[in-house]
Amino acid sequence: MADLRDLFFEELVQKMKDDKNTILLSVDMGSQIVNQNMDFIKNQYFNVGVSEANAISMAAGLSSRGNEVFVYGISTFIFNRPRAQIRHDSIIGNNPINIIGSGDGLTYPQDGPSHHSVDDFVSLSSLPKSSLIIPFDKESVKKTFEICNEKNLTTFIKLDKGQVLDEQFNYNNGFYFKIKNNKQWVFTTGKESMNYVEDKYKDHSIACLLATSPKNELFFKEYIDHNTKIIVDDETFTYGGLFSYLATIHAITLNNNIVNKTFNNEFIQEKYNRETLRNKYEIK
Amino acid sequence: MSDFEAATKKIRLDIVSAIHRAKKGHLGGALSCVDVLYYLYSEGIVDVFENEKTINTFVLSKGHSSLALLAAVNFIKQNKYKDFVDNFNLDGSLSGNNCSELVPGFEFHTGSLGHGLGLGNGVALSKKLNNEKGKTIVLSSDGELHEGSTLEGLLFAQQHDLDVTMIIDNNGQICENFTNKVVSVNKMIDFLETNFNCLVIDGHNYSEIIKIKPFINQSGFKIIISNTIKGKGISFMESNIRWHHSVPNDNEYKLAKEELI
Repeated sequence: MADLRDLFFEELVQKMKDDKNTILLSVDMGSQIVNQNMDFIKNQYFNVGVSEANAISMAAGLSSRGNEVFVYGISTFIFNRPRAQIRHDSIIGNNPINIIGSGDGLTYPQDGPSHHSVDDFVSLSSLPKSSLIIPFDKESVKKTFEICNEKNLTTFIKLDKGQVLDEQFNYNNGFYFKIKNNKQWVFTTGKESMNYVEDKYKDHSIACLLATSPKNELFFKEYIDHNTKIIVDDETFTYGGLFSYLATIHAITLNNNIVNKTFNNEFIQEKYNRETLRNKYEIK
Repeated sequence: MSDFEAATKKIRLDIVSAIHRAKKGHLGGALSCVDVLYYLYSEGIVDVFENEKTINTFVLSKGHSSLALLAAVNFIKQNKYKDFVDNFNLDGSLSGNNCSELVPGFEFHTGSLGHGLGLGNGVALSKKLNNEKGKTIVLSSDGELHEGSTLEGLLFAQQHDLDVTMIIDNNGQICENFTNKVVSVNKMIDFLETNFNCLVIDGHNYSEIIKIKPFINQSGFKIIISNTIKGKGISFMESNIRWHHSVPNDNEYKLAKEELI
């Protein structure tokens, strides 16, 4: 069995060796794999110090010139502290970057709530032209880099630590899954939760959300109906976590009695009065 | 009247007219940076962004002054972008407070303060790594010295000696009051002058503004503190808190025009 972070950084380092245009900015976060390969990537690696905001803006600036940029920090710091920089400089500014957060859910149980990545799921996945990606094994790490290669997509990658499962899963529109019972599904994210739910729900089908995307709705349309029992078991908050995210997809795809007249996920560039903008952009 | 003075008066008139027409906009901070902005573009120190990535890149970190940039670029380009100025903040327009890259001149969308230096650092780092020529200039404000991200950017730029010039439009006012009455940045300005390659100028005096070009031509990270007056060019707006984002009524607009024509 292999360590998830090692698997991830082996892929990233190989990408950096293959493409000198790929840059890694570290917010004072180390990686054994990166250090071992420093001779090959030293001109593409920068420890920017404890400065999340500058790291994200700088990544956006590099992206604007054509560099492919990865930024690495602790999840709760690199996703929350510079959210304005992510929102403005990367997403609105059309400068796609990849942000790697160390920690998924309770990865750092002893470090307390400052380090618990349990409240950022929906705040990140609410941003247009982005995907929150939570790899959990070797195959999903490879898929993560495929998604990072998609044009104009900013990614938020949450990395757990420790040994990964060595099992085969199917993949469909952002989910890895294993069908055992068509009418009972358990949904989760990340390496640790996957280990947990595999043991806990032996007679359920299991779906692990790898990457948030509008395509996630297609998975629900294919496998979930009104009679499907769904359990969401995940290290995230009820409001703002995986439960909220999947409940939204459930409401949209199964035509529950909730009428959606909100906005599509797209920032508005045109200047109009408020009423005109509202009428123009609300979901018809 | 010198050509420089005539040009900057015309740009200021376009700014006031656009805001009077739209009945919304940010006047004071736009008027304070007009002279430096016009100088940068008229001397070719920075390139006008027109969908192609620039060699000499400009980042307007104080995004609420976007009308000043737009009016200056339109003047330089002999009214090529008149529609963007005339329709500023009007229904259906893409130009308005904090323009995006969809509007000529704006390579970066800003508006949230304290982002520009980080963006500039990334641009300059990319140029350095790719052996590309070109300067990177960031126009910031004294209010942005309140932002922690500015310090992060300063330290990184200095550490890596990036070819970035940060110009601080030090007009002494933020939205609600004079900067010194809210949270003074005087000690920060002293710190910058003492510890960085720093040029201090009167940002409205042409004989001092022309020091910008040779200074920017130096390599490495440097700072220009451009001491300016918010609302500059229209006497009753100068250093008056009201004119951060107030809109002139018809009579005030008439008075302003008389000073600018």
